[in-house]
Amino acid sequence: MTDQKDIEKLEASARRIRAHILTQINAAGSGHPGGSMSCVEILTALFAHRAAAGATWFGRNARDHVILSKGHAAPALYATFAEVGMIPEAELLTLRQLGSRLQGHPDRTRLPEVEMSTGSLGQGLSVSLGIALALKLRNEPFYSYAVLGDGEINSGQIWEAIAYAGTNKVDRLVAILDANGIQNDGRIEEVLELRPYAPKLEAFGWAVREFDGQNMAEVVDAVDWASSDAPGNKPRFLIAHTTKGAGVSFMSDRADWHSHTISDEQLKAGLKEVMG
Amino acid sequence: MAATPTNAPEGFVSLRDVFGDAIMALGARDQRILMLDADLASSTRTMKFKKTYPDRHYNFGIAEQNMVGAAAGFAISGYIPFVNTFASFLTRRACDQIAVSVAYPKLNVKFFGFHGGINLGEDGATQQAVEDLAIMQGIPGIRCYAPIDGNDLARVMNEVADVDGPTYVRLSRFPSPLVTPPVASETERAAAYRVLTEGKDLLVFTTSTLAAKVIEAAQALKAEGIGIRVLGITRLKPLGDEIATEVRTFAGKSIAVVEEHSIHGGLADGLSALLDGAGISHRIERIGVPDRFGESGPPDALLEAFGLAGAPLRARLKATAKG
Repeated sequence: MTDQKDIEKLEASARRIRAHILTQINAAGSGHPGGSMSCVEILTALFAHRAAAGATWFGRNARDHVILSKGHAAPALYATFAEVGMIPEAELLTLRQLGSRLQGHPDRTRLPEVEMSTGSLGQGLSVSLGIALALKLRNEPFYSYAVLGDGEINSGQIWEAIAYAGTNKVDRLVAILDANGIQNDGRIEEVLELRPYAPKLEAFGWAVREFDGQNMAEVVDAVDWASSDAPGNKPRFLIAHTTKGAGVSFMSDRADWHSHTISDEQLKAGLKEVMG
Repeated sequence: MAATPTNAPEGFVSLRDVFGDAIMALGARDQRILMLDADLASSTRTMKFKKTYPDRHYNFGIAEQNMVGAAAGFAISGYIPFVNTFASFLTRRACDQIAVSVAYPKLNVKFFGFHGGINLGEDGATQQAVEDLAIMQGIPGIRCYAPIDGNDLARVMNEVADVDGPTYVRLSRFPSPLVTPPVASETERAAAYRVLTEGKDLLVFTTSTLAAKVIEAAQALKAEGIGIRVLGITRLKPLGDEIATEVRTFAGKSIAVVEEHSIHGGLADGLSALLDGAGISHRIERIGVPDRFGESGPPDALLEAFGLAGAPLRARLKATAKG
């Protein structure tokens, strides 16, 4: 169990990350706020808690690996990098600009701190799987995390990776599903219903845990569980129940905020809400 | 390098057997090399590697997209994955994964497409790849090779193992004649191009094991008084600039490209772009697979039916030489 004071610190980080997301998309004039806001606690738990990232984390060889497979949530990733000191905060305002390191979808050739270039959905889990297999081959005590969207898992490649990891007991692999219930064209049940997730994943040989993905203490607890020997000789799947656009009332649980610009007025209102 | 397979005529060698031997040599030399298969390890001759290095072999099942993504993860972790399956399943099915997970982040993944072209024969269009090179050449940053015989493949294997970045090697299935000299050393790399026959009437570019059929045609036409200079191109991308010089020396005469590939996006297109860039005006007779899929048939009969071997090829080359 993480100390209440530490959880409060992480919650403060999450608020600043949300503010950065809004500011970035407002400056860029386009982007994906909904799915960025829903995965904030997940990324905060991974980078600020589990990895305790800091400016020098990325340069180390011996460490965990994190891939944001739902690449359209790039603003959340960049904001998290800034929050833990991996990139300068001022750079966030270059999002989507010509020549920027902060491409519309993450690009590791521009920004090496990005572990994998993503954006064509469904590809990140396989890459995380390859990293997890490499960790096992070297017998290193680290984990390979992939952050997925619930729209993204429509992709067949995701299920190829799920089947492989289950068959081969790839226990260094942790998939974290940002299950906000909405994809580009609407609600999951209107587009492609894959729930219930847990029994399917368990049948594929994964250890599964479900929790409130906007509750920092629960997210931290789940990440700690997945990053331990507790789940046994299995790959680990965390189902984080989240809300699209979480933290801002006018975006919350709204499909039309999947890809949307943020006006100056909306920015002002949104910042007021997330920073309290 | 590879011994002649027992089922092949003297002097014939199967590229996949050379591949099987080469990966054993490379695997012993470099512990970072891994073999990735998609339920075709027996066809791609990686079984021996699996037996010798069980920890460095992974079978992903019939799941090529996941295999390519996992290869990217291995490459990020400092390994050199060799990704093996049929050219058709690799390039058509996992095209987006090759582009986004490997080529865009410039990762050191080696792709091997087996049974490229139509010479797989009886299995028919679904297993044949008439567009693999077009797909791979269209993806930024991937070096593309189509070795012209077993010796040539051995040189290509040395090269792709040394190059840091994604590469694609197209292999043909059946034993084919050795038309290039044996490998001189363990480090010898592929030449930009190789003169396979001499002649002054027509300049022909070809690639992959189809080169043997083009040599046959050139030799037959020589008896009829038509001299053909056949150039074998091993590395299609990037194409060596020196190839433009060859064309310059043939100014005013006919040029043909013979390839076991769609006439769209293969060697003919690559050569056209090179010549355009060099400011050399030209007309290229494109002898390849027109805008259609392959079909079932015995390999040699199929190549003839598509005009890529035997009498139909000779007729095409003769007509081109006479302009």
